[in-house]
Amino acid sequence: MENIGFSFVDRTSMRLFYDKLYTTRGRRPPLKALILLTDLKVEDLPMVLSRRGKLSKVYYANVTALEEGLYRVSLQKSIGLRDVKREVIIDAGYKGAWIVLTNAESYFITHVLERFFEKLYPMVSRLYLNYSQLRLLLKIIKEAYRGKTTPTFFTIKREKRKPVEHRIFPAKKGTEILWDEDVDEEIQRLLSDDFMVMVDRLDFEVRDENNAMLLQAHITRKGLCKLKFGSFSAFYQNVVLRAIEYGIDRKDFYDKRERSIEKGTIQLHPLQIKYPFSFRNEQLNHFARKITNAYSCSIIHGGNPYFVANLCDYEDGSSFGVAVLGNIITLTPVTRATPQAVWRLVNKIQEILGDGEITDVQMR
Amino acid sequence: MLGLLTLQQECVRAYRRYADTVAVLSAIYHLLKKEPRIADYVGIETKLRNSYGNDVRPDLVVMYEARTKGLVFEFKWSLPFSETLLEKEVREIKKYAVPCSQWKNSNGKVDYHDVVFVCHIEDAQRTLATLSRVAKETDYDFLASDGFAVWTWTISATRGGERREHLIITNAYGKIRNITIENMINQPPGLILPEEVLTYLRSSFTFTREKPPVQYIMIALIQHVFSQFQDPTRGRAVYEITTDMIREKAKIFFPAWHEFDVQTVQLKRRWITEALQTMFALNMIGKPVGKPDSWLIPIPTLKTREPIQSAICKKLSKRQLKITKRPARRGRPRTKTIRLKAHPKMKRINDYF
Repeated sequence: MENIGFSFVDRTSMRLFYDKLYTTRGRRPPLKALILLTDLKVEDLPMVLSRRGKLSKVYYANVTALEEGLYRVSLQKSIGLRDVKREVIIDAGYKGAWIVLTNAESYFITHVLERFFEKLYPMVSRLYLNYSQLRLLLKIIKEAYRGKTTPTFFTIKREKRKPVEHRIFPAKKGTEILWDEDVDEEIQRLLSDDFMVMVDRLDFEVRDENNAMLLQAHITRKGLCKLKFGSFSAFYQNVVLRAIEYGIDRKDFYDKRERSIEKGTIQLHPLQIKYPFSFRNEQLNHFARKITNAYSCSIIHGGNPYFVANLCDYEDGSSFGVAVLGNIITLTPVTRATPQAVWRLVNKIQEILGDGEITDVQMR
Repeated sequence: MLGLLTLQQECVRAYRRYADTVAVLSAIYHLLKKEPRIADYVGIETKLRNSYGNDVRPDLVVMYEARTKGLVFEFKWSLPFSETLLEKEVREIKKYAVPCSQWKNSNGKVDYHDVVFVCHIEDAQRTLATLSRVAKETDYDFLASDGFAVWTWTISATRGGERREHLIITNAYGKIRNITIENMINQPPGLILPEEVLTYLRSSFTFTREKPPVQYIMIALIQHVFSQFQDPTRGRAVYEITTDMIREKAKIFFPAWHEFDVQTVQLKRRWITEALQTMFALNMIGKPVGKPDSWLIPIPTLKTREPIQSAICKKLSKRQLKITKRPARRGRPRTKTIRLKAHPKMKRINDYF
């Protein structure tokens, strides 16, 4: 499938084009807006790519400037014997963030676009959201539209916290779609039924006071927004930019957390992820296996069920102390804790153990 | 001779034991620092001069009763199994027990000071047996009198998650003369330290004054020090780094780094150099030609899908076994005779003629 449009030369023509396209009913691929947090310049993308030897063998990027802060980027990836190539628009108008716009098919998004930017970590960071943050973001969007926001469904990933022995067909891990406005109850039910729950995506629609549809969209936990129906300008202003503002606010929360020494006293800036259940040995073993695959991990206590490990981010060099005690995971950045590394680790932990509540710890 | 697996397990055990000892030091440090009613925290590795005229640096020094009395702590992450070596360690305590000067008060002296020897519960029984024997000697009678105590630490285990884990310090032997601390430690099941010591306070320090096992230094360097040199734009790359640059970045992990004298700096530098040389011997890092003090370090240094302590201990154990097993080589190296065997489907060369 080829990209639709892309004949525009500036922001105005882009907005007009997408406004027209997505306010008329019809079959077309949704518009994807991938939110990335970075201080890089889009023009430097080919140079950054060339510095990454392995990446430059698989990917090719060509950047064309359309107007200030707006670029057309041709992205190509060799997958097996074929090349997958599409054009995307990168809007770098918002300081500290890029919005990658495309209506290419999901295959390109998953296998080329998202992977490409994930490989550019830590220079480019994704926007990570958990269940409570997605709910909060939805509230912000609702206020921005001044309409009625209805979550149509949540996609959640669930996994049993302990093996089920009394059933013939034990409920295994998997993806579940919850078609309910208030999914809290359903999530509570799953939690009480010994599941770990991770919300993956939130589909929602916005209607005005006459119940007319204003927007049909969705947002994933990794900051990919999709516009299915509705005004592009409003979607851009009320969903994408609001998500960026929220993301930058979260990034500040994870910033300046490395271990420091002030007047001879050690200052630590830990944070915690709280869960409504206590962890069991099996969960911690699973956690140890998964986290060791992704990070340089030295385990001091493997779980009885007290778990303590030191982690180091391979790509970024940030290092952390992680402790799991009862129902709380404590994350203590040690050296070179960049906000993107802390955020990524918090997300990784939640991907393994389910969504929790993130709180700051004040050292006493 | 120990097998590979046993060596590896011992290596991992030593790594974990040291890490826990650092956590206990952090715990007691935070407890005393945050609770001035118990005692005045003076410092970690604070220099004192004993009556023999030698400078000593106990792991932790506190004072109480308007800084007229002192209390010093000595932490041991591991104690030797050899009785002779253990006895030597016990006799070493005397250097802290004799009167000391240079205390942090107006006259640099205290009325008296007590010594607390902190070790793991697994080492306690052996230590106490040796201690009782040594205490019978006239010069070491301080070991049997008030003012000397042995504390042990353990992390309480839970059954079925009904209660949380705690770091508990118990008195195994002797008595100190600070009533508040003595009452705290003697209440059953012992001094239960706050939960934070098992979580984030563990990250306060990375080393104690005692030399860690080499695998511990290697892991600390890989995870916390080398990573500070990493340039994220380059991906995995080899960096030329000098020992001094590494020491400079590593120094903040030593609790009392800002009070170090030249001798202590050299000592810590030796630990780092030993770890670097071991890494070089394990082919984990390289060395540039003609630069004796520089290293070629790939960062990230070790990418593995297993816990890093297991990967490093496996390498170390294999090397140790190789060194132990290597026979003395004499004369021309043996060469393996190559014998060609024909595959059943192969034809004889004569068939072609």
